[in-house]
Amino acid sequence: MNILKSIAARPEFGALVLLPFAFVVASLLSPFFLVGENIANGFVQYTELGLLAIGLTFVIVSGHIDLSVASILALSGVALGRALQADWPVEVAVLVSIIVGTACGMLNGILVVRTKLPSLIVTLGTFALFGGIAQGLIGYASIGNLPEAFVGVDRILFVGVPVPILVLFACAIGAALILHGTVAGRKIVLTGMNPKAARYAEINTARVEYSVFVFSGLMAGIAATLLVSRSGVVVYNLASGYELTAITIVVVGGASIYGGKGTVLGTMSALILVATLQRGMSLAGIAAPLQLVVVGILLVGSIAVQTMVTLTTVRIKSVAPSEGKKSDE
Amino acid sequence: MTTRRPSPLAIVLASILVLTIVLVAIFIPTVFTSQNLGNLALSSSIVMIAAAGQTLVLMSRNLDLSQGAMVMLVALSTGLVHSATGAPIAFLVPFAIILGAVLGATNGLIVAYLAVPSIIATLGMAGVYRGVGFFVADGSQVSRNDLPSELIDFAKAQTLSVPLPFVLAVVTAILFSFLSKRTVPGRVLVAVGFNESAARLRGIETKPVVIATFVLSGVLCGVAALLFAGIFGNVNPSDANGLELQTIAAAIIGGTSIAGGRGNFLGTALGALLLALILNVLRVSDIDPLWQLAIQGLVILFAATVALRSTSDANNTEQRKVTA
Amino acid sequence: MVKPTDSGVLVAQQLCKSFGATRAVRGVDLALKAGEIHAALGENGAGKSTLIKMLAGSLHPDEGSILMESIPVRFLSPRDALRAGISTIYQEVASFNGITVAEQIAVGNWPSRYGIVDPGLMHERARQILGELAPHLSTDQVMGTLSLADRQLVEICAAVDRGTRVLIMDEATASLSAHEANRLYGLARTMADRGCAVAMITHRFEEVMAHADVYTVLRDGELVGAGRISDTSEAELITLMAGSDVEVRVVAERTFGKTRLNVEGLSRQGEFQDISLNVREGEILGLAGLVGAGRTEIGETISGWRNADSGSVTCDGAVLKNGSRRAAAASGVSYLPEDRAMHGLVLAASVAVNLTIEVLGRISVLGFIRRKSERVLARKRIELLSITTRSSSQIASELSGGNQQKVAIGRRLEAHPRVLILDEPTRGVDIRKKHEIHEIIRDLAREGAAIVVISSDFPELALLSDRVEVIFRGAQVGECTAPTDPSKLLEMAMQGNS
Repeated sequence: MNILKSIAARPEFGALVLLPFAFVVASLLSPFFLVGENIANGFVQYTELGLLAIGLTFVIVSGHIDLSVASILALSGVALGRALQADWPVEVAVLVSIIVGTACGMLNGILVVRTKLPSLIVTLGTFALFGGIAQGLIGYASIGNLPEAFVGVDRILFVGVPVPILVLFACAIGAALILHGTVAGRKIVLTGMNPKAARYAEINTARVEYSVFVFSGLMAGIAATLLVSRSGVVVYNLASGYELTAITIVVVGGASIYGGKGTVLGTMSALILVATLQRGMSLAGIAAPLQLVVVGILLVGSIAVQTMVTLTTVRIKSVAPSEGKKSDE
Repeated sequence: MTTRRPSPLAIVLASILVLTIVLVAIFIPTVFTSQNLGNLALSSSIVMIAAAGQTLVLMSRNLDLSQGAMVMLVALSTGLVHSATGAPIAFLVPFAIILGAVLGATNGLIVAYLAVPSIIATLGMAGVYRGVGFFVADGSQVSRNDLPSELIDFAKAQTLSVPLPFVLAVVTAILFSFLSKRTVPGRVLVAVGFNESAARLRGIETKPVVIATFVLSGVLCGVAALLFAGIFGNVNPSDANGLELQTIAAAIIGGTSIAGGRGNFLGTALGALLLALILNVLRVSDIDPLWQLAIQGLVILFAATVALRSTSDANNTEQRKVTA
Repeated sequence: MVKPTDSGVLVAQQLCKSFGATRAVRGVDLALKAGEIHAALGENGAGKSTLIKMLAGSLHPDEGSILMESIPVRFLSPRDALRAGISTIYQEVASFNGITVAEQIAVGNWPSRYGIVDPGLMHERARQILGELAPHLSTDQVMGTLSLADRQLVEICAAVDRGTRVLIMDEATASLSAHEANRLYGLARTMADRGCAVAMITHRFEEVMAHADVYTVLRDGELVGAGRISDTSEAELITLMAGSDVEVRVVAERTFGKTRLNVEGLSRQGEFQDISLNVREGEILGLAGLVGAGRTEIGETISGWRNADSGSVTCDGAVLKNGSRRAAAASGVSYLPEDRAMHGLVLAASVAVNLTIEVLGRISVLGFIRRKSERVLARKRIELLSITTRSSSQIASELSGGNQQKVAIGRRLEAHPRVLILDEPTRGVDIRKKHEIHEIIRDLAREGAAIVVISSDFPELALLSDRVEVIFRGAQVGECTAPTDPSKLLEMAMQGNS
């Protein structure tokens, strides 16, 4: 019984349990779902979202939030587009995108650490700032005619799998190794659980907080290269609304919005879950707005269920004042 | 009540507003044409009213990220009901308010009884409400003809050259400011926002309080929706996107604490006005309209930092005393 | 012995409460009468807090009944108890930091007409009550600026404002200085004289002897003694509380090495002045004093958490850089703060994570954590300290207070400290774990560490220390060498103040 309880308490539990159901539902919705090519094609469009979600996992586990990831992606994409337009080598242009993304992340990190504003407000501001700069740079125009060598990375297969999916996979593995296996990762988790106690344990929480935002920006920069390559064109709103879906994915994957809890596996499971549902619904001809409703209900429902599970399997100490000093009574 | 001394933040905000107005008057006098001021007042009134609702939610230590979706849905529904049934304004106004209340109540129940953090609950419900909006609009949109003429007239009406919607927004801010400071429910909200468990120990039922703030947010969004319809004349399912971010920014800039308890309705209204003014200035000036968003972001960051600094000084730090 | 049929304002009959397999309260009777201060006495873990929570409505009794003025009542929530006229003051006052005293008093009970608050009346009521009970406070002060003691006084004023019939004080004086505690009891006496029934829950028998009229002693959840204070003695109370678990002073056959820690003329303005002490290898030095005497500040300064204004700290001959935690840690000086929940542990993390938190470098290779090393290290520490836990991966918050304290200590031991400063190491720990922790401290001394124990528990210091320095208002006022008499320590610590 205890083993079951501890498994159920793991963050990934919810998403993993729902996953097979999602597959079943999706297949029932449309016979086209299980066609091999459709699966690969379908999931390729979610790789950028997945990368954003990986970055966000680090941020959320550390106790913060990053509302600006989509804007960072947009800005990196615009920078990438401009570089390609100026006939820079593809490799350099890609590097530009990554650097811009990382720089945006650094700004987020500095602002959060220095101003002591809640990350919600800081990234609200940078969401407007970065998105606004992207908008200012490119306007309503689009950058097309991108070099052949760059476009269509999703059509390139490596061991039968589209390259973007491999990139996502590699990033996920790397992120998981860092978050769950390294000292740095543990410091992130501890900072999210109790920043004060972490500081008392000689953990440099400022450095941790700065790093997670840099990482989030980096992921957005990488995602920009994939997205632009896939769509072949750069517009200022190419990732509009991604941040909310990404946050949804991280939270459905079992991460606590308050910090200290979350796994890359959970995030990836939730990504596949959401992708499966959306793909299945699309193939079945269900309109986009209705899909929005389903995802919304999924978000709320999965958290409600998680909370119920936590309440019944873990003894939660009530916050009565006398328990401020822990006594044995 | 403690002596009425304007807080340092109010002084700072008012100074920034005055300074901005002076600078603008000197360099971009076109802002001060009565037509432009009228536009400014109109466009800010929607945000001001919704921001009052956000302030309430923030005071209870929560967030409402579904305000934009609620405004859109109520405006859309009102228009559709009117064009389908020809229902009179006397029915439509209560309809909008009740619909807003129902949407808000759904949010509140999820937060209070399902223990879902408000940031997630309202994020999810925003998606649901938007989706419903798209579904209900079924590809079309609500246009001027679908709306009762009274709404359009109200939006155009003025008293003493001040647009009525703006008057309504200011009255709302003053009303809620009074209610929150001088009534028992207001005090209860403050207590719950400051320390929910302590409030419970004092015998306060905290769940109804939380639900009430979300219901009021929904109601105020309903009112804002009516204004929206009247002012803009058409409603698309993708409208009012990002409204909640504006209202949160306005509230934070106005001195409402994101940690709950402390709420400043007049500050929120001022904050909303400041943001609208900046946006308006940008639009009227020669600054490339595409850079507006970026500048908005900078303003938010700057103003929020100032707000934090000003209220930190008023924050109370515990003093240790050696008393052995 | 209190008979179950005795009348009283609030009477508990045969209350029982269990948490899973633990029977916290077994068949306890308690009668609170108007005009009396009734002390519920017992060691940590005896069940006092659970008993009180049932009376305050926070917990539901499994068995037994509660009678309010001879009418059976059932409290489904704290609100019911509050409505019935029962007010509870806790050790930690949950206040609304941003509001004024007048408002704090009125929370939940605002004077209003048609829903609109009457601030004038609110202030008037507050002013009146403060004038009688806490004249040094004013209605406009902001709660966040008040000391804990003053916040408790405000809570009592709020209780009076509500027209409370029963006042319960749950370990309310645990964090107060002697002066503040006396003031609190003075207020309790005033309440009793006004016709309230007052209950004080504490494990400090010296307070009970000084202030209470009637007592009830709990041990292991059971009622083991009750009666009038005038008919009993300190010794009897101690025996009742401890039962057969009396800890005997272990005659140390330890040899002390050279002086390891040397503190000369250490001062910090406003906190302590001219502190000079030394601790040898293998020695346990006790730092006695009342709460607020400045001992915590001294301990924090020695270990580099605070800057000293003057003076020096030397460890094994090397002078430590002032105000540098890193320098102190590098020299092997480790400090365990009083507040383990906040500073000592990350409650949401597992025992293993907590134990290894300071030595992550040791259990990792090239930045990657070796789970096996972590487990091995954790298990070893768990065994050495006899920490009761299902496994090293159990979450720290699920452990009892005593076990949590062991984890907090264990974490510091990983760094093999040469000097260990422990601040209130057994606060809130039940009696058995207390003995075990004392044994751990003695073992550490035997292994050659120099140990400083800061404690307000004089019997504890008498049992543990080889020498005791007494601190009063930031100054050293005396030294005692073992064997020490706790009453003498108390006397020196209070300097005749009462």
